Amino acid sequence: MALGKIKADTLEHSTAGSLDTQYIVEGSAKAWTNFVGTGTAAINRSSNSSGLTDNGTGDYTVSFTTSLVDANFSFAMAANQTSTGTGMVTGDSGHQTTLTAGSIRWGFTGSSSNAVTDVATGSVMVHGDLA
Amino acid sequence: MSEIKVDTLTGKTTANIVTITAGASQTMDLIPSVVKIYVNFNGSSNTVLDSINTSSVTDNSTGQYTYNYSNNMSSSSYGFSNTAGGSSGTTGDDSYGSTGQAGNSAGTLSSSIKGRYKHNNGTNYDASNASILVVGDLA
Repeated sequence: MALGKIKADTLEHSTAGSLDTQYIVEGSAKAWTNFVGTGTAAINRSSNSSGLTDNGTGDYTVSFTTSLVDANFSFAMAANQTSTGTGMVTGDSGHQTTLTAGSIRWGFTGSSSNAVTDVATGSVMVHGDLA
Repeated sequence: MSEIKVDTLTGKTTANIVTITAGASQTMDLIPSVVKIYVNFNGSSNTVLDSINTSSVTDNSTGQYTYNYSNNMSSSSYGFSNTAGGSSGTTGDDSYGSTGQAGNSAGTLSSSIKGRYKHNNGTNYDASNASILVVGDLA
């Protein structure tokens, strides 16, 4: 049997309200990656992520399986540090976040040391339009 | 304008795979891409300002909270972000979010996520607007 396909502009729940499907299409994360950032960096789980590159200490690139329409997409990163509990931020002198339609590269730094550092678990999420 | 009234979307071939067209011709699986948990938390007053799928927030210590989920994620490996606004007038107004806490590396669990917020001078602070986002698969 052929797959079902519905074209609609609005979804309405019986009690929770309605939502233009535009928000579903445009508001869903287009890529996300959860990865181990220490030792041999590796993806734990992901959506629309074709690979993770460990560029050096605290410096990672995630490539997208399906590219975004351009490099102007929204992004958010966070990290689970180990026992030090160091705060994580993105962007640093020499480690600026670099966006292309097909990938995102960034660095994690510690708030107290301001030095790039590998993270126990890292995460990146991307919102925008697919190509 | 077309409109569908429905309480549940379920994949026809596979229950938890619902494909949407999300580009000129690209399609993607909707389910893991939808935000499953979000929380806006005032750590000063210990008040959840807004949330979905969050049962409670535990105040562990200054600037350290555990956000507990109503419905668990399928594993501890999911996409997450953790950010906070700075507090006005405080030295080191910039804020940093991390999900690790001193002495406890298990920041992301299937049932919860731990957030920690620090000024750029390294001290923990109770964030007036701490925000968590989680994407992935529910259990």
